[in-house]
Amino acid sequence: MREQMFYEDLILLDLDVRNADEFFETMNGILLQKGFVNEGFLKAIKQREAKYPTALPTQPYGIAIPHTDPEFIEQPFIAVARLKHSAVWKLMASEDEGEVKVVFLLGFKHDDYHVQLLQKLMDLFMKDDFSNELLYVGTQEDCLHLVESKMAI
Amino acid sequence: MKKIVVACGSGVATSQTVASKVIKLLKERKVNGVIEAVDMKSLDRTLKDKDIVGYIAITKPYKEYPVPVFNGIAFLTGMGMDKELDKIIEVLK
Repeated sequence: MREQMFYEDLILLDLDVRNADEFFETMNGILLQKGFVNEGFLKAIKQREAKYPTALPTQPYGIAIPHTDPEFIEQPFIAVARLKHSAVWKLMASEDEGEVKVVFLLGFKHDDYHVQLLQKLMDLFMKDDFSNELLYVGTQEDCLHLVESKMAI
Repeated sequence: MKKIVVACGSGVATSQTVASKVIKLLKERKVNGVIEAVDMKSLDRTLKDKDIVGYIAITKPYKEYPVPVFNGIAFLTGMGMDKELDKIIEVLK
């Protein structure tokens, strides 16, 4: 069995943040306290996002996939956050801002398996049924089951 | 063999995801070509390779490039993907 990547307590439903910086500050508190990232993470992910933004103009809503260098990751993870209100987020490969409703924060090490997971996620983002289910899932536990079953892990 | 380079910040997550997507799509269309994922720092050096015939961008292109530039976001969102794929196949032929 492959290492665990999704954790129930790293699934946040209806997270109340207005923009990327607020999102990173909130997540950093959780991740740091649980030992998933180290002290350098917050600064690194903010800088990385400013330089290489990660919001994707997917349908039916925008999704962001922020990530940073492996040196700031203590234990690999993928955190899933559904936002209460769509947040302003800079679009990938663009100077424009978009709106995102869901964020997959990727705590990756240099690992082929992690890249495979991202490929699977991207394939899911192209399918409306996954995006819609994610929007209406009621509990963290249900969300974890949804993501893991769709990812077939 | 003709090659196309994909670049992102680290050369790992996003660029490899786009690279494997494009490889899969090319296989389906029975087109030969090498897709190589690199980090942004290596991009200029990689572009000096004479076999490179295109660059798939997933960060904002900050200057002119000596080869055609393709929109990598299409392969992440699925929107406009077929059109971008056609353009890539055109330069690989």
